[in-house]
Amino acid sequence: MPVLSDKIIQIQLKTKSPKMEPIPKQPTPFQAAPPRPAPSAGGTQIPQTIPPERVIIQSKDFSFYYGSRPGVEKITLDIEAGSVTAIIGPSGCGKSTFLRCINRMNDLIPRTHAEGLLAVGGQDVYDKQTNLVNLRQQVGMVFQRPNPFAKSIYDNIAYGPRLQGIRRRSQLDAIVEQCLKDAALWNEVKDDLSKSALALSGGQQQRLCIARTLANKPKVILMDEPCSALDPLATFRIEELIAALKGAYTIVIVTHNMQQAARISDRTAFFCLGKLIEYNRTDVLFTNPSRKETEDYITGRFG
Amino acid sequence: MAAASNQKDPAAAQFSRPLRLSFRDDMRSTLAAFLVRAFLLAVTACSVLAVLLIFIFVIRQAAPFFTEPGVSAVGRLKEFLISPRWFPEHPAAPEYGALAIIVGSLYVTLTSLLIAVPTGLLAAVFLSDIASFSVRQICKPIIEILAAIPSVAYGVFAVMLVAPWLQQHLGFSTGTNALNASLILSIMAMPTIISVAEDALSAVGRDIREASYGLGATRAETMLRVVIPAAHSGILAAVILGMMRAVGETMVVWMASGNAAQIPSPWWDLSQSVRTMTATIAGELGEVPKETAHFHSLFAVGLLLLVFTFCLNLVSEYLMAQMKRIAGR
Repeated sequence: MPVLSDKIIQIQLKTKSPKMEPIPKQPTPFQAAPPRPAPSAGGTQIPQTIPPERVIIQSKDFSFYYGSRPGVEKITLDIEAGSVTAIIGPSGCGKSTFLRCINRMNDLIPRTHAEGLLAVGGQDVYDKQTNLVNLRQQVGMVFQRPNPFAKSIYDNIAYGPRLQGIRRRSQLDAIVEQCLKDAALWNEVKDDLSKSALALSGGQQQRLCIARTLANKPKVILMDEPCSALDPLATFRIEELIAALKGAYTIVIVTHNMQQAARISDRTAFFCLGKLIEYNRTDVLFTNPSRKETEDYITGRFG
Repeated sequence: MAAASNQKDPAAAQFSRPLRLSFRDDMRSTLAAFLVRAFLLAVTACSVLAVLLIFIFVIRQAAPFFTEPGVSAVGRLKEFLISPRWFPEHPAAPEYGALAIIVGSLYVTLTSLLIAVPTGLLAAVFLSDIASFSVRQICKPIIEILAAIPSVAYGVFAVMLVAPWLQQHLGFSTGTNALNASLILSIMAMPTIISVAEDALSAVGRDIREASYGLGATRAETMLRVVIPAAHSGILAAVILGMMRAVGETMVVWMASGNAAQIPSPWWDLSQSVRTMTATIAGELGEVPKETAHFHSLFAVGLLLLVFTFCLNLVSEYLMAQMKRIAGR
């Protein structure tokens, strides 16, 4: 028997009026979020509402336009630091668009513009003075298809640190080893780090891309359908990796695979036709959706 | 059940066209395939044969120059390659030192590349990564038109406009000189370099660029550290194709270089006239009596040119294979 109170679903941001912190002019490093309180035994680990000090990504009435056509419209949601948040929805619903707005990868597309507020670590991402280099170093991205550079494994990982001015070989060696270990790839490649990254298998390449992102020491990792080009075993390993990275990093993952969202995420947002339909704890959203569209989608009636 | 399968099987009836052909139909398709293959082979063989025949023809015409009675072949070859004195028309003591025209060819080629390669590569970078879509759509056809202009038109431009300008503004004693030829050659080589290099840069996928931007790289860093290294083999091909264009060009160098068979001295003096191998052949072959030493010496020059471009081609093939191996290792 589900507890009755579980049925009262609050899409918490729609009921709460968010108070923005003043946005500093100069980009400053993210504040380390206070650790999540230890789960009380037997209680749910994930709080229904995110305490304001733990919000790392805040979107309020955020819209993004391709020309005059909206990619996403009036998205309002908060993402908790150190959590895994999944974005699901049918093709073309704007979930990738929203994800790519968070580190402004959409800037590469001409004639687009954003409205509303999208803040990372309390700073407006779409502020004119935002430094894209600092933003993208702290908000890393893993893409749909593995896209390693045509360089050695070592140089792929060292790419980000080198951009940041790290030149000392011993320091780079340490970063490469640590990142490959964190990405669960070290044991497979440690014998020959000078091998071309293109010689790796698809799953290994994707883990290399994750390791490459980790080398920048980001706070947030955005993943745009990272497993869609991979076989089930490689997918499983990536999911294991995401579970291991949780807590140390905030992960936002777009996925077509609802089972995957249910397996790995703490919260799930359901997008449809450029709008946020429902955003809630994953267990609640999948067992007890509040909206008809969500229910139709997760039960496979459309999408 | 067995009776049903002996009779018309409704499932088999759907395969209304037979899977096995009759012997005649079978032979016909085999024959047709054979004929088409033979035809394609013949066409391919023709082009290969044409190249081989050109080689053979040039070698046969050049050989008498070295085997002329009364002169040692080695001495001839030595003179040809080492002496800068090219006086084949001297009635009493003709001299066949081709060094000056070999140097002249290399001189204008390398100088033109010095101008065309950096300019062309920068233009390619601009077109592939910086220019907006509409600018690219306007620029690319214009650059391709540049390649379609006949070389004699460039020659007229060199003689009528560039040469007087060089004389008036830079104070050169002659306007038709190495600098003039190099400038025009560089303009002629540029479309090749730009379009091949631009293709190579564009072929580096958008996802690779995004990976770099996503790691916090700027546009310049992405270009220099990721895109250009990934496109290096194509860029190299662009440079070598541009070089072949410059080495083989005849009309422009004939009109613009001044045609003096001399090695510039000092060597960096671009204001002096030079003469190239191509211009020598074009200029003298029409006037020279057949089957004379002078006639055959021109074929020797042609053979040298052929060997040179052939080597250039081999080097480019080798480098590209090497690059591919490194990239795909």
